[in-house]
Amino acid sequence: MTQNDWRAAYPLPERLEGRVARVLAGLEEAPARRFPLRAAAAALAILLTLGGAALAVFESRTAELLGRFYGEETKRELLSGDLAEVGQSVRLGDAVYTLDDAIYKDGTVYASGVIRPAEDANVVLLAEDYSVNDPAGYLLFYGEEEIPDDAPTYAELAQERGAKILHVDAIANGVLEENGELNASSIGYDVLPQRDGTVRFFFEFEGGESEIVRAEKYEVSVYIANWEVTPEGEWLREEPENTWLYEDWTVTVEPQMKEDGK
Amino acid sequence: MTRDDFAARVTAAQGRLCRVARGYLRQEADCLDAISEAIARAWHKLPTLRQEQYFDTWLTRILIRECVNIQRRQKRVTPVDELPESMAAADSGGEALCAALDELPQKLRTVAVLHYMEGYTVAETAQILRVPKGTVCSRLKTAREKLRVLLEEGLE
Repeated sequence: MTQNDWRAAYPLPERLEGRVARVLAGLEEAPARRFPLRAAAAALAILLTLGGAALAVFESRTAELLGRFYGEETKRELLSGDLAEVGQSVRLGDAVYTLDDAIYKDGTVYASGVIRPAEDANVVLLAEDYSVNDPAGYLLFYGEEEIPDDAPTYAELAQERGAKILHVDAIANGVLEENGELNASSIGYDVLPQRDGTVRFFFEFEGGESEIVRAEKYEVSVYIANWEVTPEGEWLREEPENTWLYEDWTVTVEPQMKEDGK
Repeated sequence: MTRDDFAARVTAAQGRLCRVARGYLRQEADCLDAISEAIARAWHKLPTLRQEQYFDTWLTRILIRECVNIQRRQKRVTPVDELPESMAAADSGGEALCAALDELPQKLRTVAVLHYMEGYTVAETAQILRVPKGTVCSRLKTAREKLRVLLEEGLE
């Protein structure tokens, strides 16, 4: 089958060219600001505090995080689901990944966690979609947070500390079924740099071919990865300087099942 | 990269962007919204793109993030039966494949669209999706097998 045969499956809509042309015509003359910010529904400055001290009492950071994105109603809905405090960690190279908590609600699994530099590692963590020339620890794509002009970039911070820059990822693979198959579709995720040098991550997914059923225990598979990035922004993911580490991390999640949960 | 260069590269890529978006979203309006948002976001983020040879994969990845965001919002706010127009139906040549692709799980459909429809290599597909190359290969294999079965079923 040729590429054209494949493409025949998805014919292009007539409105496409006009829509793209209009968007391009409406762009600002230049991406003027050094650190472009994008208005969004959430005032994510508050999120920066989420990476701080551990909470004395279990509160779902996942619900808190998604509540900031989608509102209090979403947060309330999530809190009515089956909540699981997880707190499991794994080290991969110079980074430590911790899944803080997870929620099962109406066939969807939500979870969040944090990536930290390992104690004996001298690394500056860089989140997906961020460049070494972005201001370190600031969210760029959500809120209208003020960024000081003298905020150091990831590259500058690494140079100042004599540290390596480490690109980090944590993305859900899905729930591992008893037969070893993964079950997931529509995986949503994001990674959020924090001012303390950590990176928060969250994800959500629902079942693929079959619904993820409510259960007392789940095996959640998370793809974790990291690799070095040069101060010039080059990824060291190819030989002979391949620093790419990755693994599928399986985390056992045991939620407290609500009596009226679905 | 100048604004004209950016516009030219986006215009050249619009077909690919639309097909990739269609791999995630069934409604024409959603696909066009995702493309619009991805273009705007890419323009704002352009200063962060240091190596222009990665423009296409970079833009595709931004688009995929927008598509997933739209999927997430839809789960919360939009009853499916109230959605308006669907994408134009494929003609008879592509209709069966379109239907079969729609039957695939998202992960498999995405690698099939990126690799077979858009011609990205396994390595490029892995880079766009941020998954290992081996994962792309195994998903492609599974996608091929499932598509074969679905297309054969469609012929019966």
